[in-house]
Amino acid sequence: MRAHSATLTICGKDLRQELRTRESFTSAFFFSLLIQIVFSFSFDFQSLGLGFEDVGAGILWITLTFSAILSLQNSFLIEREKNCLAGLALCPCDPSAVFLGKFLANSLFVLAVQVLILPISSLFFGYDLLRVLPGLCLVVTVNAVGFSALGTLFAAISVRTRRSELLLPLLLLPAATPVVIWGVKATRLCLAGRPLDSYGYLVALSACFGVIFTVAGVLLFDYVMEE
Amino acid sequence: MKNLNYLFWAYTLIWIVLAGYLFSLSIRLRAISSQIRRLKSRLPGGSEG
Amino acid sequence: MHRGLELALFFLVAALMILSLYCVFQVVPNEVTMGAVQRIFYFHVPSAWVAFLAFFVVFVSSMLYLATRRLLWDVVANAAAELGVLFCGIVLFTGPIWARPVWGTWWTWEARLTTTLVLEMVFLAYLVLRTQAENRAQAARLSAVVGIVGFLDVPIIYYSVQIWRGHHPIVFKSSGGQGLEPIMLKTFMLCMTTFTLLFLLLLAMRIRLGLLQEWVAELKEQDSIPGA
Repeated sequence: MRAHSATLTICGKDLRQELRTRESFTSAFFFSLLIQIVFSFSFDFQSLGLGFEDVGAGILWITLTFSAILSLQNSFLIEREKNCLAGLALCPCDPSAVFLGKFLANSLFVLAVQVLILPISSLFFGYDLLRVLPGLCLVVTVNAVGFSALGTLFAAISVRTRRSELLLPLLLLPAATPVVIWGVKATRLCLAGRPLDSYGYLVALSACFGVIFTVAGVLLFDYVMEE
Repeated sequence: MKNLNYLFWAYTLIWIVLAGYLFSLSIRLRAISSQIRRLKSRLPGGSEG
Repeated sequence: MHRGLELALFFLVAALMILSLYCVFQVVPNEVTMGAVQRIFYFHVPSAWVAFLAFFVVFVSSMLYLATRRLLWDVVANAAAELGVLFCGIVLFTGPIWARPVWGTWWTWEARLTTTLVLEMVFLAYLVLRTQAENRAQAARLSAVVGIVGFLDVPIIYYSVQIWRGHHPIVFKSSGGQGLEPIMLKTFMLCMTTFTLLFLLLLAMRIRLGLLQEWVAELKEQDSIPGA
């Protein structure tokens, strides 16, 4: 099977499955919503005299990080529950195509949740989303994709172990620190209304991170999928 | 020479950590040696490996 | 490593350690701005160097394991990771002890300390992964992948934290001077050598333990096969 068609097949399979059950999306979306609500209680903006720009980047990124971890975990847990991990390993194609398919699907899932969460956060925290939308979209997309690249590899690793729910955050969060740092910094500048030039380099760095760990995933996925 | 206290604690902690690790190594080595002895005693005769 | 060589290395490290301590406490002068507490630097920085070296060993042996599938390389990687976590821990203890009298606070989110903290978490996760794998071969394989990815991440993490933060004591300048005084530099290099050799010694001991554990596990497996 040709590599790119295998990639698209795997991605398509995950998307179709998700469209049918909406399991992963629903849990990730409600989890993000709950995090936003808890933050609304935790930070009383009015009495603290804070604007959303001061802490908003942190709130958005904590939400994204944890809901992304949920999505990533789900994407491989479903395979394990339905005993499909062996099937994935035995695909008549390059294992890297399987990785890319999974990575693409995971990125789309993470971004889909953000599409709904951003307007809701704008509602909860009272900031003008439309003013910052282009920049914010760019930052969130690039960083979410970078996060998913490393996350897909680590999710494939952790799903084969005994405490996979514990292991994925343990592995991913420290390793994904760069993307979180750059994402938060860029988001803060974006929310403060600064032009793209001031945070463009951070987006570029996150893009490099995504590329590096996509390549790493492509090269190493074979070893992860071995039985 | 102020802050000698901090200096003392820094070096003491380094020593405690290193000594602790050496101690844990020796305990593990002792455990594995006793396992080897037990395995050897279960052999029919002579030593293996 | 041959037992005789290991013993020789042990005595060499012991002697160098005594010499290093002597130099740190009796030979070098007090640093101008920070006073006596600056002497922590002579063990703090070599510990950081050893931690980095250990993670490099994890990286190389992980790659060698995936290439050759010889369990020896996995034992080396495991040993190096343990030592890396140990020496990272030393850096994370001595850093705050140094920071408190100098900057007035136990913890500061400055670049190098934060990087060390994140690295410690990465390699702690590596060690946890090994305990949670379903079997020996899987533990070796999966942790090799994490070891490679983790080490590739090291410069990226360092760079990202640098962008995020800024100040770290510029230890290589005495007030207004061009760099460390020669005697301080010599003592520092001595401590670096001592710690590197200490790392090699501990690595050799830990590898020996690991190989014995593999051997025993193999014997037990053979033992349980009827008729073997």
